[in-house]
Amino acid sequence: MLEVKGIRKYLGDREILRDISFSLSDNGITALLGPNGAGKTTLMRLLIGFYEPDFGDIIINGYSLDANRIKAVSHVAYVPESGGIYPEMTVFEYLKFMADIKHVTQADFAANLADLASSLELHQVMEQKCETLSKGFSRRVAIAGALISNPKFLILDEPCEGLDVKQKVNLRAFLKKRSRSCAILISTHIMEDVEAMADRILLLSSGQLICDAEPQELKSKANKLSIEASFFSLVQG
Amino acid sequence: MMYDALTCFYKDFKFYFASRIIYLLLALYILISVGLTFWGTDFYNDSTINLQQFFANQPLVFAIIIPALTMRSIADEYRDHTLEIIMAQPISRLAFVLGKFMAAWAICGVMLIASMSFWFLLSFWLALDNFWILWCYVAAWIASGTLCALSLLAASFFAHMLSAFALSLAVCFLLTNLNLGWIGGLFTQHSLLALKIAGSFSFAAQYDNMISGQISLSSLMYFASTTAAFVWLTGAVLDYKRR
Repeated sequence: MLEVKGIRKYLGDREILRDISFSLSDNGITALLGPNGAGKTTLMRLLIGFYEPDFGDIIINGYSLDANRIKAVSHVAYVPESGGIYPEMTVFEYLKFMADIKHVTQADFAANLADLASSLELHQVMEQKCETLSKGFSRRVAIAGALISNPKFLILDEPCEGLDVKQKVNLRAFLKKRSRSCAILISTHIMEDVEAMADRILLLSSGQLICDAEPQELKSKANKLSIEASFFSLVQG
Repeated sequence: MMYDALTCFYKDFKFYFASRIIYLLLALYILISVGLTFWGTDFYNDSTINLQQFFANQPLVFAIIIPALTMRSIADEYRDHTLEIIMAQPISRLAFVLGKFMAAWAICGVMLIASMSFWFLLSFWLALDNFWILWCYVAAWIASGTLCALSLLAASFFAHMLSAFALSLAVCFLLTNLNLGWIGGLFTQHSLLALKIAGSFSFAAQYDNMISGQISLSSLMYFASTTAAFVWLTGAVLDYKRR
């Protein structure tokens, strides 16, 4: 369980997040939605311990991120919106580095690598340098790096951004399958992704969590037929 | 923590060799080091030739080379968004910084080893005090560690490599050329003691002490403690940036 308890975050004098509280169970896909500047990336950076909240706490699997950061983040993996991989490394070196830094045993690494390489179709680029990869492969390598340690919580910033249609469909199917064994939080602007994947939606606006509901509940709440229309209605209203 | 630091060290050490810049820096280091040894000295006519000039110039040479070496160390992590990834891993900031420091310091070791060809070449013609030279190499490597740590500390303030380079260069020059003797002059009543205390904080004085041929515990302590302090402060700066 990942619990966010009344967190507030200021960057300089500006309040970016205001009294955010929610929890994530051990599986399913939660979409984090909100207009630009709503605080989505800041919230995700708080969840991985990159930023420290000014008030409140985040509890991951019983460990406070504030008091026991190392134990807390050992259950979390993160993929930023762009980059997140070392350009000078080969794909294999990057995945090995990510496994080493998370203290994954050699046997687990071999098993996870085989699984991820086949699920994400990475075999052909394994010896290729990350800087030479296409956008689609870069995203998949970054996701494989995050999943190499079998985390309980996976946090993805715009996972389908820049992917072609086939890649998007494949990635959605992969994430949906993976969400049976780990909780996934995705931040996205692509409403198709939300419709296709999300079991739950968190809606942020001006640093506040204005809605925490299942997709159907969100539509009924906004009295709209699509998530996109509901999003506009709730954010503007 | 050491395992994590070694994982980061291995990654960073390989990263240095993945770039062509390292070979350029290596060539530049040899060129400046050897050039300064011959330039403005009576090298050929000196009957007591012993590479004194070469070692005396090492802090100056490293003060130029090390900022260029470390400027990308943290800036590239910001650029590639890998700092977010690393900071989301179950490793301490200190282990991360220690890995970066060890990698930069190891590169300084590689540079010093490469310069040994100069020593071997001269030893064919001249009767050199080889034990003293070997000790001076160790002293230069120890001193380069302090500059690596200081340079990383300066680089940790910036997400852009040129800003990191500029500040690192400035602080490395300041540290290597700062003569703290004037502080002693302020305390005329106890000037000898004050001079001694001020001198004990001077990088140049401690380095000169090391290459004078004596293995001084206080000098070793000076370099070890300043290096440790700079590494710790770099971790603290990265930690502070979370707030």
